[in-house]
Amino acid sequence: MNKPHILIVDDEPQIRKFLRATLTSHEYQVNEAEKAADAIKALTVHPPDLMLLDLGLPDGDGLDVIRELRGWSQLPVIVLSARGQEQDKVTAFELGADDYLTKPFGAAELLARISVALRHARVAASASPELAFHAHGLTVDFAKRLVLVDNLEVHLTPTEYKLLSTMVSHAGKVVTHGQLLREVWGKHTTEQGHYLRIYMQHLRQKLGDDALNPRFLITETGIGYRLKG
Amino acid sequence: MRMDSAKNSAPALKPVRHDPASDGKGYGFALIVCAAATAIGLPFRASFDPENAAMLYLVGIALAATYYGRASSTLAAIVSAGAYNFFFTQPYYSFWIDSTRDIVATVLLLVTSVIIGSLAARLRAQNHFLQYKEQATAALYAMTRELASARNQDNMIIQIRHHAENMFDGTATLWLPLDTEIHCITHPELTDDLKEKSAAQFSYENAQSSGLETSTLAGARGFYLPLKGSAEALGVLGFMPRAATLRPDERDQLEAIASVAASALERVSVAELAEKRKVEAEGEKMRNALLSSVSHDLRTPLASIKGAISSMMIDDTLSSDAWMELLVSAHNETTRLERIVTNLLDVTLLESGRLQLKKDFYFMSELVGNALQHTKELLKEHPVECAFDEQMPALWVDGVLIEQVLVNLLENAAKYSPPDSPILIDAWVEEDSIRVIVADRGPGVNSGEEQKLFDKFYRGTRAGQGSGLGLTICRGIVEAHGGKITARKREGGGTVFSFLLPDGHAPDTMNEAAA
Repeated sequence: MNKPHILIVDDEPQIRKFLRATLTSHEYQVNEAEKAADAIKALTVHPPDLMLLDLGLPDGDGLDVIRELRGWSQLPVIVLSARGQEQDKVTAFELGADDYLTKPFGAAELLARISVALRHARVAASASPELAFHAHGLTVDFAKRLVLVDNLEVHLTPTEYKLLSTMVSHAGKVVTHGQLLREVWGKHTTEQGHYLRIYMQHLRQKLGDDALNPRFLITETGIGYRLKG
Repeated sequence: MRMDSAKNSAPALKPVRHDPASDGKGYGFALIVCAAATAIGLPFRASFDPENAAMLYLVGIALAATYYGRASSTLAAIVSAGAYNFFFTQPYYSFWIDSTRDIVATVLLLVTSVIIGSLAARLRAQNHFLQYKEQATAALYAMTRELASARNQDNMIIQIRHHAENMFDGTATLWLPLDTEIHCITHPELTDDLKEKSAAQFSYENAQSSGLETSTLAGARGFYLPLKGSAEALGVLGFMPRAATLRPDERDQLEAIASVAASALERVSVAELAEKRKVEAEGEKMRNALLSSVSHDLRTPLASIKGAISSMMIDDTLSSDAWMELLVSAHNETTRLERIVTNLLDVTLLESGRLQLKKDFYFMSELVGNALQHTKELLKEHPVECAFDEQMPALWVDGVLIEQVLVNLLENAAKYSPPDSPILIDAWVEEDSIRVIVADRGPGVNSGEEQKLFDKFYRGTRAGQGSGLGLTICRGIVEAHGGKITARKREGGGTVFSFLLPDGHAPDTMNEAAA
């Protein structure tokens, strides 16, 4: 099997060095870009399997790179951002980023996120629409419209089911509040934002998930939710 | 308001000036008293000695001298002597005098009346002068009092000018130095008037008077006096009399004003300087505290990291255990460094006032869950009990920031309480708000220290290592939400941190037909 190919886009040479060292020693091929323009060029000339993208690039916004990329490719994008850039993260996810890592981050976390993102990409590519989802004891059978936790059936209301299936369709990825509201309710208002929290709370209860120590649904404060994939 | 009271308290000085209109009245009065003395004396001419009539004239002359001064009394004396001669000496109605006695009487009347007039006039002038002095002193006193209550320079300048113009007929100007150049504050256009500016500048530089009626730059329209401070001239007081001349007593008075003005200005500038120094000193103290705290907190982990890595680089005899130990230590220190830097950035953001809350609905359980996730490593030795009802209303807060508050409080609790002691997180509804508490079984908080704990760089007496910023950040965030955070002793030992947050005013539970 070919080594997966990763494009690193970051203007800090020391960060690129650390990423390259970590990734090459874990059987990844690595390409680097310093600026947004270089990144676009690299993406077209030699399309990678995954992109690590710093949001604060000197010649423009990392967000623009995602926007442009999503016009023609669904390759997984992991955003590297500084703390306090929640709004940028939300925008990145709405534009189609797959995951994010807040600097500073450790190698283990980086590798875990990359392998999850690559797996999702493979699944998405191979599929024919999925008929069932299995992870961590949670099963969602789309054909039978059946939800099982540890093989026990859970009864959900139509909205709860829609919410869960939306999360499942983005499993492993962060789904922003805005995305959920649009996909589940078809609109986006503050009032609805409160409904979303309440439905999420109900859904968690029915799935036996504890927000204090989540098993399936993780809260990404200030951004949205993520279903463990 | 102030200006009104100043007007009332400072009597306007009307200086004694030579006044032709008053002379006219004096001559008129002289003639009237002579006529009156004649009219009173005439009916008794036959029954008393002419010397008695002379007394009547003397009364008139004394009155003229008292009310109108020397010119009036002199005229009265001459007219009286004439009238006496004409009406009261034999033969009547003629200036011819028969007896030697009458000649002597007439001459004596003239001489006596001139002397009385002169004495009365001098008395009158002295009286006027005393009155003037008294008024001047009262005006100066009023000015001193007003200036004493003035709190800043601008206010003071207005008052000095107002008082000077109240006392004299003319325009008072105040000049203050900007660098070394003197500028007219009250009449900026005068700064461009070369004559006036040079005179003011001369007074400022040489601490001497100049301009009008002095030996220096006498061509100026104004008279300039330095405002002498204890060390150097603080500025210049100028005065341009309307009459274009200056009497010596006016000069003296202006000098008195200048001296009062100078000491007032010096007081204010000293006070302003002291205030500025104080602010600077406090800022400096803060910066020093920040620098010493930060440099210590940053250097310690940096030293460990550098030490660990450099020994791995040069020492190839390290056992794999030692190698691993160094790596773990470097890694842990990096985490610590990260926390300090994060706290510093947070404090800077909170204090800059640029923090904008991104409020949204959050359930307590979500925020606490994430905070626990972030502090997992630190809380390894501390069981955390979450006592709140997970069904409680949502909060309406900036979730990222409130999560930070919880993380900081948990870190604090973990740091200062003994291993295996539990940490309690609880929350409940209090009217329209939600009360959140984080309680530990640590050493507790000393009374008197409850508020100081939240001050920047304050390290509790029993504290260990910490940036001294974590609780400051908590307070900043909670206050930005309109809440208040407090610390108190916990019953049975330990500390309770408690704060109030706005609740989400949740819409009533939604109804959805069960599927």
